[in-house]
Amino acid sequence: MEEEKQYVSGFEMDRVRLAHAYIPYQQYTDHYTPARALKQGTLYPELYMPYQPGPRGYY
Amino acid sequence: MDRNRRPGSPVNVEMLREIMQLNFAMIETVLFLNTHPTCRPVLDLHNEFASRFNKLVERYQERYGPIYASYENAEYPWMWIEEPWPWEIKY
Amino acid sequence: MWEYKKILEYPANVRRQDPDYASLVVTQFGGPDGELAASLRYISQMYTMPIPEGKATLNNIGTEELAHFEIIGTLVYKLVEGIPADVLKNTRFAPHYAQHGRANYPADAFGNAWTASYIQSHEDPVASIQEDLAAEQKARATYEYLIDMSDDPAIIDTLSFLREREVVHFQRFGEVLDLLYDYMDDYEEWG
Ligand SMILES: [Fe+2]
Repeated sequence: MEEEKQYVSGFEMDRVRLAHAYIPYQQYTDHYTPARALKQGTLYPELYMPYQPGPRGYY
Repeated sequence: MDRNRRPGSPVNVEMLREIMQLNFAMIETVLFLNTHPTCRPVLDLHNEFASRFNKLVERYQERYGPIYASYENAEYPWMWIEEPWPWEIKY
Repeated sequence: MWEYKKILEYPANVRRQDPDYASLVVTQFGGPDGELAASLRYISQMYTMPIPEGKATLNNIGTEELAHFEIIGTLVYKLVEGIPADVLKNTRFAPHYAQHGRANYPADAFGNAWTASYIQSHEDPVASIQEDLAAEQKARATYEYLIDMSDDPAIIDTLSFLREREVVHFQRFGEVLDLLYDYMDDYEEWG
């Protein structure tokens, strides 16, 4: 399973309003094995965003 | 009861690890289903994890003592209190 | 109600004992962005959440945060377990030992006791969920600071797990926020 950043397509831009915060809805695609899920902290590859220390900080 | 006669409960860290893995997979399906209640594939996945988890916990409880205080086949003496507790185990 | 499972959510280990680090990581036990605050925030907010998805999400994430409280408690416990007072007195853990011995106590890295002032609970569901989104980000950032200051692979492993949980929780609260917008639009239409 690939581990690069996941971008979301199909975000409904016509629904967005000013002064509202939006997080795109997750669409189920795939899952890790329970063993790998526990190791990585999530069952869902598209949500696996490990800490990469660097000048920008976070992930 | 004489403190020194406390049996302590044996642990099987490998089996515990497998229980933790399935428990965690279920935490993830539950959170997802809460906001996606009509997602069939994850519902099916949840049922699969739940059934594997329950079977494994049952086997563990029969051999190594209760994971739940409500375990229905509790043996004499009362094993729930036996150490080690989860924070006392080296995983 | 709640029922205890005699397991940890994550198999938390430390490779070597370190009282100095215990006095830092304790902030996720009882600090402003710690797990106790997270749990009590969510399970306080759930009662008046107007949509079922929101009630369930607050209930289950609030429950999981209590399991994280236990994981951090395990780390602190293992970091100082059995270390004699004459060793502890020369570490950052000395003030903690003076007040609590080696018992766990919900305080931050400065020693300030946990307070409900760390959390907020609003009947306005959008206000509450945005507080929760912010809380998840602050907890994630705190885990990164704590990871930066550790060279124990076992601790980094556990803190990385907890950090990733904040990412997932953020996503779930984001989805609840979206559902709340729909709910309020319908409410406007049907009164
Ligand atoms: Fe969280």
